[in-house]
Amino acid sequence: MGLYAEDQEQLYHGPIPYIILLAGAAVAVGAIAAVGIVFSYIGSLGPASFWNNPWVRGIIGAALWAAVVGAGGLYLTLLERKFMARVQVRYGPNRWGPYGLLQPVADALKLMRKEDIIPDAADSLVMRLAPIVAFAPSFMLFAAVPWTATYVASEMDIGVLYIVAVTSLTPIGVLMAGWGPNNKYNLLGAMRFAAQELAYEVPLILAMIGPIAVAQSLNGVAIVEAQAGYWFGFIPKWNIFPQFFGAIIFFVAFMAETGRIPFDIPDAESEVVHGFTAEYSGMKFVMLLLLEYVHLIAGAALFVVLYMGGYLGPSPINQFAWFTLKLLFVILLMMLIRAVWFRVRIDQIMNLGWKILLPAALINVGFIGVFLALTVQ
Amino acid sequence: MKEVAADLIMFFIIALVSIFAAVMVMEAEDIFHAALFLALLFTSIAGVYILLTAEFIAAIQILVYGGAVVVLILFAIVLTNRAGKVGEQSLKNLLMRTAAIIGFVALLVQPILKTPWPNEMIETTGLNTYAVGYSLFTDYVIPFEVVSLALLSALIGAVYLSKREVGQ
Repeated sequence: MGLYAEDQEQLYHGPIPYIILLAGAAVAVGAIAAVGIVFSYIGSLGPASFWNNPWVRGIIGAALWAAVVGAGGLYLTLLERKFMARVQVRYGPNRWGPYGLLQPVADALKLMRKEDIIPDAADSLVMRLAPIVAFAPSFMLFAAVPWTATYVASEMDIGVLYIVAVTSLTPIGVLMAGWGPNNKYNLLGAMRFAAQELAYEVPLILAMIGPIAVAQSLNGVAIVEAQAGYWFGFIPKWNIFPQFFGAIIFFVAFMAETGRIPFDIPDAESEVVHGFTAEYSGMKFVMLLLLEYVHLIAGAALFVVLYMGGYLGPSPINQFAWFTLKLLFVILLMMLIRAVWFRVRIDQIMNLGWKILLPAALINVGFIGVFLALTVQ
Repeated sequence: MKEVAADLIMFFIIALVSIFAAVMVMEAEDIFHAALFLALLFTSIAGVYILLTAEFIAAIQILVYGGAVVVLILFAIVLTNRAGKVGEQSLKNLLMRTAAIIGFVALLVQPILKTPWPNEMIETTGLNTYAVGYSLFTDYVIPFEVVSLALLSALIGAVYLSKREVGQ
């Protein structure tokens, strides 16, 4: 206030942009719910064999996820910038469109028009392929994430294991992005990313064992169904309550895997000039940048499935909407953490991963094993 | 019958990709490319496991070989200087390599011809993961524990060796 009172009036729009953004999110949830209702209506018309055809399921499920990740990733950047600006008492983007709502469109147009630069000394093929190799596995893992009890792109026996396996391929693409352009900052960033990913993959997988053991299945739908019901009539039987430590370990580990602010040493601007994306421009840069947001959605979706009861919830709202609401909640929580925290050093990250999270995850698995052995028949 | 044909087509695609990748692991001039082809080889072999309805093994194959092993190899290559491309192969080298390949294939011919390959489809229960876990902790519990002990000792040995180097 005070000094720039006139600017203040022009730049700060009060709560309206947030209301619009959250309303947009609600409309998106509603649209997804409507799609779900339409699908279940059509599904009740046709023969069940048609809807159980893997091709039909796969294409519809993949299209849903592609729409959500594509449009969501774009507007997630704006939501994140606005939200973080609010937390840090700044304005955030406010020039393009009403209340700055067209900012992601402007960003996308700008990046699409950029020249695609391949350095002379680069390993051209590796550099060109790297964004695809890094991006594709992150997209593939959504195939096994259950939207509702019936709408999983590919319902498989090994659902959660498949997700972990596919995620473990991402570092190959990032290391390619580090090696291809023949730039030391790319290389340093990629090595940091791979080291971090390897360190946190172990506690991440160990923290998954809890919900898997409770459900006695690797299938995402079975894991969610195992969390149905209530304690004392009002506390939902989500895994997050009995397995609180497992949930924390999983949350920290997947935050480290996304490489976002508390753990963003792979692309620390002040140290390695944005790491493995340093030499990239145009759409290739966008793909490497959106990797972070795809990882964010994927990690949040996994957290919701494993620990927050997935699509379960009281009936007035349908299962699509419950899942999306929980997803938004976890994503906003991660954005809040990003807004208030600072970057930790690389040795602190390695210490946390190997010396604290790994033993804690092992102890957690041991406790769950003993508990289940005592209680289950 | 139709499904068998689809399986066969998929098998030939996967087989071609994996043979191509396996040859390229040896033939690639850049060691980084060779490691990437190794990743392709491991993931395409996971495809063979899926065709055999062994999804659990396929996922572990991708997780351990595609994810961990190849990433470690790439990591080690990245730590080195750019060695550049391999020079021209000498004739002696080429002849020795050819002889080794022919010898290996000759060794394989006998077992391939002797093995009685089952022709009928094997019924799968859809409980592969359960079956693997069950037999791992009942029939094969001692080999399983021995293998894990061996891995643990390898791990401790690696830590010991690297620690001693730092101390000197």
